[in-house]
Amino acid sequence: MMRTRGETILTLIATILVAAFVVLVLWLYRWRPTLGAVFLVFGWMSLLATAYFLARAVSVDFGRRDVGEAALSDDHRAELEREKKLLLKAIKEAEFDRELHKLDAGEADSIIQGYRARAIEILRALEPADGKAAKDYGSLIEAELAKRLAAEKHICAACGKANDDDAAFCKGCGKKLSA
Amino acid sequence: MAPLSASPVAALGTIVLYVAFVVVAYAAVAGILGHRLRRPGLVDSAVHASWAWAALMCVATCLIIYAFVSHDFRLKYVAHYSDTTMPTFYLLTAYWGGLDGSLMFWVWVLSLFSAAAVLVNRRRHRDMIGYVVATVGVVAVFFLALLLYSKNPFQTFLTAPPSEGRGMNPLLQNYWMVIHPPSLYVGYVGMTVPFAFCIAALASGRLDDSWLYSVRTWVMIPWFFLSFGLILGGLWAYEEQGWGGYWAWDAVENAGLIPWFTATAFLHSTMIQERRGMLKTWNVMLVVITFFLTIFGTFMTRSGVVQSVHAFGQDNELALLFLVFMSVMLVVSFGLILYRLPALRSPHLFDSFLSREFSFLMNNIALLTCGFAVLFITMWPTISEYALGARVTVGPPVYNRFMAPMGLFLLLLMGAGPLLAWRQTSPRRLAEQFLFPTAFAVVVMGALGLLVPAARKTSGLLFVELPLALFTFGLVAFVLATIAQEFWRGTAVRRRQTGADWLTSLVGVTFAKRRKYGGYLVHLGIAVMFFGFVGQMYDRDRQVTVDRPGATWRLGSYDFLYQGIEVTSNPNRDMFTAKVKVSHEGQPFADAEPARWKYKVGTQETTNEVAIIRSQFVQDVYLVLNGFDGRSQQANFTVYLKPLVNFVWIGFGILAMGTFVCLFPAGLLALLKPRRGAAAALLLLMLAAGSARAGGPHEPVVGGSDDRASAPAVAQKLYHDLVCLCGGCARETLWDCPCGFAAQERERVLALLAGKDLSTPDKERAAYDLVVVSFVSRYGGQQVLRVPLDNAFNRLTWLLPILALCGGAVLVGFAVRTWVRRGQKVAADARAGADVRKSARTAYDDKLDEELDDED
Repeated sequence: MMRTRGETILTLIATILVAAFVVLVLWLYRWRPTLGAVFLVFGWMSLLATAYFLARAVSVDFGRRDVGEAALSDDHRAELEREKKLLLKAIKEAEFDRELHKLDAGEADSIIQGYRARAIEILRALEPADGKAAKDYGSLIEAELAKRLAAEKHICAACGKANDDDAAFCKGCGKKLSA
Repeated sequence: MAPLSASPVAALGTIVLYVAFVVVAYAAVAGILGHRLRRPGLVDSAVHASWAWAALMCVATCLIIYAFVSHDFRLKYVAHYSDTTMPTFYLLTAYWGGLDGSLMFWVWVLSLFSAAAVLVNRRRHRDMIGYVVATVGVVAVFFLALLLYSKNPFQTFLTAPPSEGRGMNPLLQNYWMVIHPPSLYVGYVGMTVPFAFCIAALASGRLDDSWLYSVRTWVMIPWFFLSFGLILGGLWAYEEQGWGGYWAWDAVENAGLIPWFTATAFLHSTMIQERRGMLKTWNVMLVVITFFLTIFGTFMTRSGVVQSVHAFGQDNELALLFLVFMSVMLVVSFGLILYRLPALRSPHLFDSFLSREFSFLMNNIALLTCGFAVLFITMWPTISEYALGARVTVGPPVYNRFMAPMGLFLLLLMGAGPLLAWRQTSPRRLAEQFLFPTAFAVVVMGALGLLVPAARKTSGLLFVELPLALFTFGLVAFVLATIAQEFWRGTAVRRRQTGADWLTSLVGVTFAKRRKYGGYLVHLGIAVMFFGFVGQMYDRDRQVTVDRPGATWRLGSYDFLYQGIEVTSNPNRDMFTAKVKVSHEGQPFADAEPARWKYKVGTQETTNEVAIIRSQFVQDVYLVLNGFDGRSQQANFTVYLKPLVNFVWIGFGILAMGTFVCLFPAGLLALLKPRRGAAAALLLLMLAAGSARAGGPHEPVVGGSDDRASAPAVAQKLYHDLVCLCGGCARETLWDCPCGFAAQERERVLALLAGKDLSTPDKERAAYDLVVVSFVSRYGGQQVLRVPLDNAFNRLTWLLPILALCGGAVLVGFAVRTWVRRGQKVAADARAGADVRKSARTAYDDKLDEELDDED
């Protein structure tokens, strides 16, 4: 992870402060540190950490507001994802119990079918709002590709004719093409 | 407030505590306002303030330890709990040796735990983390207020400070005691984090399972530390107190055991919510109750409401403050639960009695019953004092009468639960699953019953005499067979799925389903501990007085040769060490050195240093030097033979290993893929080796004039039923207490029995009653009895928990029957719907299969 300039300066200052204190304590103890001296240094480091966290606590943007609706929608989605995850585990567990002969094949299949039914309901609910189904993923990708290719071909806004990338005027209607 | 000018450490320490109080109070307020006003900036500020509080508590901790190691006796706390002769190690641990320091230690550990929990969860639970900080903050505000108001460890003397401290209680100068309290504190304090998440979920309305999933780890860590603390307490009692046992239902130890029961119940019931979305209300209540019990335990040990060998003493003011805090906490918690009750309702129901979830429910009820029974019996002396004006003594027999059957029931559930499938198990599958464990248990019981006469020894179970040891051995065998079968079958399935070898498949399945198989290892550890518990039924002991070196005596197949007392000294204490040569069946066996240490400073107490010979793994030889005369070399010893006791420690080692498997980070699982089988196997072997070492070192631990065995049977019974009120022991029985007062009391018993006709059982009973009445009237109450008199009021001690259990069982039975019937209907409907859908396979089935392939 890259450090920001501010963080680097802060780390440098903290290191200098700790080092200076260590030297001070060593000097006070005539260069023969005791266990007490070690705890003094730990205490000083904790004090510096306190100052840092307090500075962070007061330097936040107190005015920033939460986006409630988006969060709620995310919440619902997260809840469904969580339930799906549990159902996946439950299916695996039932399969494992079947392998261990704790469940008859018929019972296990019946239980698993119940879990699968609910999992599929969740998968449907987690689909995008425009109703695109799972099988449409391929066509969605193709549509997106076509759109991008079309954009590269410089479509005329007036007549819809595809022009070359470097064209300034439409070869269909002759109108000026946007840049 | 302390006079700040007296000591710079005291001044700085007090200021730091005040600043910490303000900072954590700010964090609590900012956390709540941040969510209420939808200001994430405020929540961020609260989070950073809570970390600042943790850093401040680290400063305070460093300062108090600095004061101890630099012998700054200007601080009252330092002067009261340390002296200049104490080893440095004990100077560090003196931090939590007294009430004031232990409260500060409590707040420090809480700050570290909450800092870690907030760090890990602040993004995942950003919509409730402010409430988490606020809940922890409120708890911290209470404890910091206590510290600043009346228990400030930085308080200084108003007059000239002493030049030497009083020193720490010598009983606490033991290595197990050094780790025992902090381990229990971590267990207690750690339960605040799940409580904080629970309250945050209730306050924010986010009552799905996500908080539960995050919290499970934060319950397991303190649960492990509680277990560790309890077992260390047992080791300390065994090695330091010299009465030959490790668990005597002491009130302070019970205070740690009660939340252990409820936390264990939660660890099981959380799985039902995760798998089936059931018992949401039950789970939040368990978290609240567990936290309440940790606070209640802290209150019990510090307020003086119970009498204990290591309570902190009477403090009515502190008791009142704790009561107010606990009341507020309960009202707020249960108020929130009631407010959110509609959202906590579960749509799922039990499908069958023969299901894993139903066995978990039974386990929860049994654990909760155990917790409340121990709480009730622990508080019974206090209740009886208020109700009758006389404090009774409730000794181990009262607990054992109730807890022994409950323990066996839990052991049975430990064996049966894993054999059941989730939702339902058909009778044919049930028979298939139970066949091997049941057959193994029957064979073990039969073999032991026929071949080992000692295994048929009977003991009181509830109100009848039964071969308790044989039952326990059978149930332990049942649990072991269940676990072995689960590992065997799981490994076989894994082997079929991956094609790997047996060992790699075993390690693979253990770590791929680590909660399940880690849990089985924990069960294995507990079963091994039960095996060790049974050993107590076969304990043998003998007290002897020898008048000169060269004297010998015998116990079982061991001969003991007394060689004299050696006197040594160091700046901290004088040590009087008895030299005893032990031989086994005529062969030299070990040199034992039981000792008594007399501390030179402070209260100048004398401690027992027990000699434990662990050379024979299945049995400890345990020697205590009760008293001696330096000039004549006369000495009094108690010798115990302790079979199977080491299985208790070994069992805990296995339990620790199981917890480690459960908590194993998912990120490290890459090491355990089939191709790394060798590394995985090595890791498992290392774990096993570590666990074996956890059983304890094998080197010996350096640790009156009557022969009780020759007394009449009725006198011996009285020695066991009357407690010693010398004030120096933990209310041990006249049989166990080695002090001179107990010897006088035994003589008094013999004097009262002198001349009595003891020829028939009826006459013996009359003589027994006469002595009991004499002792009760002499002491003005039943506190001299190990078990309260069997009268109408005292029978409530046994009856109330049993009645509560029976009543609860009936209620639960009705409730579950209704749930199961409704659940079966719902399940049938769901299956019918599923059958309809089954025929039409869609693209979603493919997507689901893809996601299932990614699951391990």
